[in-house]
Amino acid sequence: MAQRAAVVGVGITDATSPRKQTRSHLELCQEAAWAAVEHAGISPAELDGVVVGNIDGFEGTVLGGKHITRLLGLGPHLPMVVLNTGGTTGGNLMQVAARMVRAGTHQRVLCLGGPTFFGVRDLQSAINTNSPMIVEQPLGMGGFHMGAFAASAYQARHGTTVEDLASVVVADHQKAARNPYAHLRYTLTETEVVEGIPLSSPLTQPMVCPVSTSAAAMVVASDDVAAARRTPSALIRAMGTSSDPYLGGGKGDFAVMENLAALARRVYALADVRDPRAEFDVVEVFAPYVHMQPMQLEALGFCGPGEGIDLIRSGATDAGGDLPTNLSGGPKCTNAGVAGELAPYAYTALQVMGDAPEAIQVPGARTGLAHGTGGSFFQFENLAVFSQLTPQEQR
Amino acid sequence: MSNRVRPGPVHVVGLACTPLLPEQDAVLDELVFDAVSAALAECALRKPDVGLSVLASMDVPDGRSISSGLTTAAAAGYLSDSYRLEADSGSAVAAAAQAVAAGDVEVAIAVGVHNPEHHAEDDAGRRRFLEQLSNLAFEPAFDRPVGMTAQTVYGLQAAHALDSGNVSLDHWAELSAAAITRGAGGRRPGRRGAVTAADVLASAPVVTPLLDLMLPAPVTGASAVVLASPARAARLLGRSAVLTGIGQATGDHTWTGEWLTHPGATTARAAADAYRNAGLADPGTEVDVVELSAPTPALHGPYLAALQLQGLAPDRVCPSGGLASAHAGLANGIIRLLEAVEWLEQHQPRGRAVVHSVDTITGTVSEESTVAVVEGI
Repeated sequence: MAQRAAVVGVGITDATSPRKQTRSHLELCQEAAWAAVEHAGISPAELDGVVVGNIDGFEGTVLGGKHITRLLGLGPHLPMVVLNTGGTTGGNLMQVAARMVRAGTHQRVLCLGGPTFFGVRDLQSAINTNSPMIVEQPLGMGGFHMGAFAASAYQARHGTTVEDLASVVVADHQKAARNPYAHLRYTLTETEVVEGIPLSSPLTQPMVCPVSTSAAAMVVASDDVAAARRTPSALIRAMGTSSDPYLGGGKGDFAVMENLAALARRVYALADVRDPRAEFDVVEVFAPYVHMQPMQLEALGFCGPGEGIDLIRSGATDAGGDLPTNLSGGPKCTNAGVAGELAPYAYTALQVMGDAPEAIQVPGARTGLAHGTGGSFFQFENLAVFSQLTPQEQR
Repeated sequence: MSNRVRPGPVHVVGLACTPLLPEQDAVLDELVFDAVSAALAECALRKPDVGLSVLASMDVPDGRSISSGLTTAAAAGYLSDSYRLEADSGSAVAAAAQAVAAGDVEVAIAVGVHNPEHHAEDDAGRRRFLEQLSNLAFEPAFDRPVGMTAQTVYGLQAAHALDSGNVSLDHWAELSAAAITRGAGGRRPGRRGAVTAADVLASAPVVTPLLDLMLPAPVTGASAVVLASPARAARLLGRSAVLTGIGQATGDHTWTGEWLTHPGATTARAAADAYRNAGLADPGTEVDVVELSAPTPALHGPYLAALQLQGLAPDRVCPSGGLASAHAGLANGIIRLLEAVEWLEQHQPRGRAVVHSVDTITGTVSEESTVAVVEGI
């Protein structure tokens, strides 16, 4: 018998760079997992599954979850599933956990995302290993090299300037400065962003995500469990994923995110969202490269093609705007791999539960959209719509 | 756990696997494409009909990183829900079945693929490659430095069992020979000739006390199963079987010793969930056949006992020959399901089978075990 699923607990650790991190991968995972369990108001013994993300080939272990989950102190026999879909791993953790709960086979499932890039000396070389091997691998292309193709295409289509792109980074840093869990908690000017270290034109270093270390965890539970809580939960109203092919086949236009637009239509229909700009109180998108953010806002139906920058410059996506977006600061200020990918889900759930850090909480937020993405020339996408579920409503 | 709900049944409508060979002349996505296309063809469905695709594979042996980028379209995931687990394909079947049972999709496909990009002259060479990777999956501070690998674990467990005095190497040789011989007469043998217990005992020592022919026959390939809701299945061609229960469990790590002293404990927990979901009170009398995944003969007895099926006639235990005949890595779980469904179709169309699979990445340490109950209809 099918049942509904909700996020009932969230744990996020502080973030910093791998060089400054004083805690181990395991310690970060323990902190996040225990914080999520405590936030959920359950005991570890009540968990009946854990879905953990590991990106083998990027990490120094093979299926690290096999020993990490045994060392969390949450019980030696917790059934475990390891998920690996690269950049979408974190976002997909909840998709797997929610189906375990919705099917009725599980009641309380922990999603765990650790710091993927803890020991990586050259991240772009690591990312190169998952790119097509005919052209991209021999050329030594990394993530931001391939990302820059879309940034250039977007500029060419809409006349976007580097200052326009820089404005997105400036807004993100202002938000991250208020988020106690963020990695880069300083503000920047447009000039500082434009004059940052050039990486792959038009992208400069501040336009690209940092390498962070942190962990995130969430407890996904049945509505029976949610009803037993004294405080609101985040009901998963709709969710979905959508995949591109490896070589970008069928993707004729790098200036638009067709795959995300198609997924948004599907997920909005499931959640009966007809006017996304009006219906979402809070949004978290995964935009590790600067151009992705306006493109995603366009694909998600918040504005028309080429209007994403204007939407951000208007202040609508700031705290106090009508579409508060990435109040966490997003992945351009904190990106710890799987933990960073899970973060949009964790922050959105916290927002509709009313439990986000005080400085970034959207007052009265009841409906939120969380997004994840990964890929290179191709993009894989995931989305979820959360609604506040109070114990009174549940009963 | 008492407040768990019993999930609804999920129908098996398509099942297929590629030829199982020591090494393939095809790359990862070609194998996935072949298995998925064949499974969909059985039920006259096309890739756009699939609501969710769950693929099980392991990137490190396959020589990839984030291989889902490569395989998703071949696995019917293009522009639809899909994800990839690094687990035995039995877990992929469970995840796909959960999506159908949840009412999220009407049709889901689970896929397993195993195709190490490594050439070796013989099985020993193939095992050596996988053993190097196995070590990396152990806990890094204490277990890796002392050389823990899947084979080491299997050897230690077998030695511990022999030491008890309740089993013998000769008995294990008989079990292995019977399994290899059964498999050689089947549809998907890795080891293609009949052997005797004497042949097994004469085979090369690998990890004391286990000998070469007591260990799984490494093969490569892909497998796929199409699942559907009861309503959707009623309008489909293809297989006539239904999954009535699935259970999953993960074992403890090295420090408790459960992997050594109670190697069937993980399977017992998975079986308890599967039987509860399927409404089985006395599996010993209610199950007609079991497809078991015992990586060594030393695990044959503990797994059967964990499944409460030790009373089954020998010809009802792994009629395919199991892993001793052919072991396609993480593609194994779906292959065991295929063998079980084919046995039901041929011998007992209204019968009931138990399908058991484990990953072999770290042996019985942190072992992932999946148990499914499948019934012919």
